[in-house]
Amino acid sequence: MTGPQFRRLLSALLALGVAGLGGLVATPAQAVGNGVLHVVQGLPGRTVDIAVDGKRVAGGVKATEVVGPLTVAAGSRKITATEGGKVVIERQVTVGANGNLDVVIHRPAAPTAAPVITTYANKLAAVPRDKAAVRVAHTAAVGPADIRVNGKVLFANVANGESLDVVVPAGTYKVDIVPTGATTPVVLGPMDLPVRAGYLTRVFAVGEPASKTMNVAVATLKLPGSGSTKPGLVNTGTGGQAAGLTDSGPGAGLPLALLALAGALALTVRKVVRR
Amino acid sequence: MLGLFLFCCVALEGCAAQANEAGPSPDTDGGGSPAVGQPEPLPSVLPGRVGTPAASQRIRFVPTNIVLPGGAKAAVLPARTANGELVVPERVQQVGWWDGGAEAGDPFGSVVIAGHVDSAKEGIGFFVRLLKVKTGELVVLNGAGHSASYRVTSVTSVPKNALATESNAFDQTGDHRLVLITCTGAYDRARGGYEKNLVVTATPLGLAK
Repeated sequence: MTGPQFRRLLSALLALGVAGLGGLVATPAQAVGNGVLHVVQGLPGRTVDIAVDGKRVAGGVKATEVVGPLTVAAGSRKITATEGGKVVIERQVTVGANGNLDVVIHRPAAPTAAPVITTYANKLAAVPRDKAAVRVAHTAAVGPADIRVNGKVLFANVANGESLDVVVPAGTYKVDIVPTGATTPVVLGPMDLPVRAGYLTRVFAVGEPASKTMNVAVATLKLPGSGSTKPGLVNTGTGGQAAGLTDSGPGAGLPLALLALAGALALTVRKVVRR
Repeated sequence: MLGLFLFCCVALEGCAAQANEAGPSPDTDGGGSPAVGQPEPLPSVLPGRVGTPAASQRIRFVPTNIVLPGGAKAAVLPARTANGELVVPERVQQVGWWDGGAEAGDPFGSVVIAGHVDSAKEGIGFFVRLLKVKTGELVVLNGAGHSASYRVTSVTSVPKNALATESNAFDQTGDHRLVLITCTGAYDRARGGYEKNLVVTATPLGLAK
């Protein structure tokens, strides 16, 4: 692992740490009519304070750190990021009852433009126990990009503000980002992205390539489990009627067709009789 | 005048990136350290952008219907593993989708669908047709208003007790594929029925729609 990759991984881990702390700070109220926010700091080189409805929830938040979970009342909430007491950006976001929302403070595609806030709703749908849900969001100051996973374009032509969801086997993937339709220049990575079984991992590409500030913010949410374990046995024949059809010698096709027809007929007859 | 300015901001916020790229505005100093030092908070707060899925968002779905080569269709129901055995629908004209496997349209892993070749109660099953499937033929999965097509790449049989250990039928880490399973070989009720599983593997023809 090279220096920059290690630093990225380190900052991703730090971001997770901050997320944990945020949980302690958040109000534990879980009444109907509340939603949960995660505020993602996607402005490399800047350190901001975050307020929700004018109430400070975190200070000295560095790029790629994630503040939250913050439990807030559903409805319109005001998110303010300040730096040295001066407003960097302030926007209203809409939080659904029982909703779970990522609020990303980031730069638009144009490298010189002012920061924006984009929200992404987290779907907490169940995944099979050995699988991981992943969302990759383009929140960097760069044009439309292809996101390659293990060398293959898995997410094509993603523009700033857009995201893609996918369910994959848990594991560590090699991820890099290139301009849409190109293989170079590599805008970000390749970097190792571990995704954990039973979790939704959200990956936010942030920063700007020219100033070499491209990075990722990573956060995870536990998902309900679904699905059963791998079977050891599939026993799908208990009659024996199909035996002998497998040696597909001359004429074997005819009895098969007849038997299939007979099976369908038997069902039809049964239906008729039941009526 | 202020009212007009606010209106413009609201109108443009939906495409904030473009709006900001259009040129200097009160939010932009054009010098790369934007928006520090607004003297007063805005009297009314603008809405943030709402993230959208990219056009290349993959469609994935739980199959509820299968179309075999030749056009025969059957309902597909979710099937669970219980005591190590996949419990497929008892009705032999229905087949079962293993709920721990991939959904149609996923980038990795097997979509596993198993069904009866026959049963003592209902006779010949829908998946008896797998005995005649050939490589190159098409299988279509439907569900939730979507569809995914697959082309058969192999038809093999494995001893039933080796299906899980010696075939990669249930593998979820490899490339996406469709695996159809039924029973085949010699039938001996005393020895647990059929001796083998028939495994039809098919690879996706493009993305799910």
